[in-house]
Amino acid sequence: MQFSEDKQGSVVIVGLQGRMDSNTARTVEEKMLGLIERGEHRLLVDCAELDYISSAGLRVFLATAKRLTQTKGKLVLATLNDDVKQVFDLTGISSIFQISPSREDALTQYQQEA
Amino acid sequence: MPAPLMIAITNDLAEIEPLSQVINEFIARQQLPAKLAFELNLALDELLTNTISYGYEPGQTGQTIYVRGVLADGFIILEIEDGARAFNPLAMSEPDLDAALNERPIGGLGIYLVRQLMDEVTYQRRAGKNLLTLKKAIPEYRTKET
Repeated sequence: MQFSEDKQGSVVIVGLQGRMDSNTARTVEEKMLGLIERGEHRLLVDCAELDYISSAGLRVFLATAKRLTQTKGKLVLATLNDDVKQVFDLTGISSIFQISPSREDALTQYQQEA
Repeated sequence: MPAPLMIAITNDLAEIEPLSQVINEFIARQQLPAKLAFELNLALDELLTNTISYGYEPGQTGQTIYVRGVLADGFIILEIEDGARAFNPLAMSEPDLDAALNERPIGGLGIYLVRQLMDEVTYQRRAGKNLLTLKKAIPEYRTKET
């Protein structure tokens, strides 16, 4: 599991690369919650290079989203591949996340609020 | 009909990824879609994660878990056999998928996914082992009829 981190205005863009499963989910969770603790509250997760996700990975996104509602923050997920999107759809979780087809589109989700 | 799969792993979450590569290769060799491999791997991952995370005593490492696979006419059967404590994951209650984010309990999604991905999932406790059998229809896989 690899990360990249980038910032555009007030939005932190986290790029995930590899597999988000029970073996790697904890590392991702620490990364996401670490960003929130650091005071970031607009997180965009770019999943273009995320090959795989299990329920352990979904739980990280749920935990991150929950934490962000407490800080009035916002989480947007972008560019999910078809396999990963299917996991969100099967669990009904797609409907509670903002999922964007592209990074650019995801960034506009924050501008609408600003 | 291809030779059955027989893979032994130990009770370590890090073994799930290499297992998935074996499954990917098996599915690719049969010229079946990569999407099928993804679904089989996800179901195996969820069930193995459960048993590896909760089935053993702390420090009880190096325990063997067997994964077997058989491709037959129009379906695939996978079996997981472990010597962990008796546990039937299918007896877990279904998650409330309509719950709002703040009421949503974190967890319970794994088994739900397995049921969604597979056509049939059964559990047996046999000779001190947990035996999970997963069956999935593969309409595109037919052995030649002559």
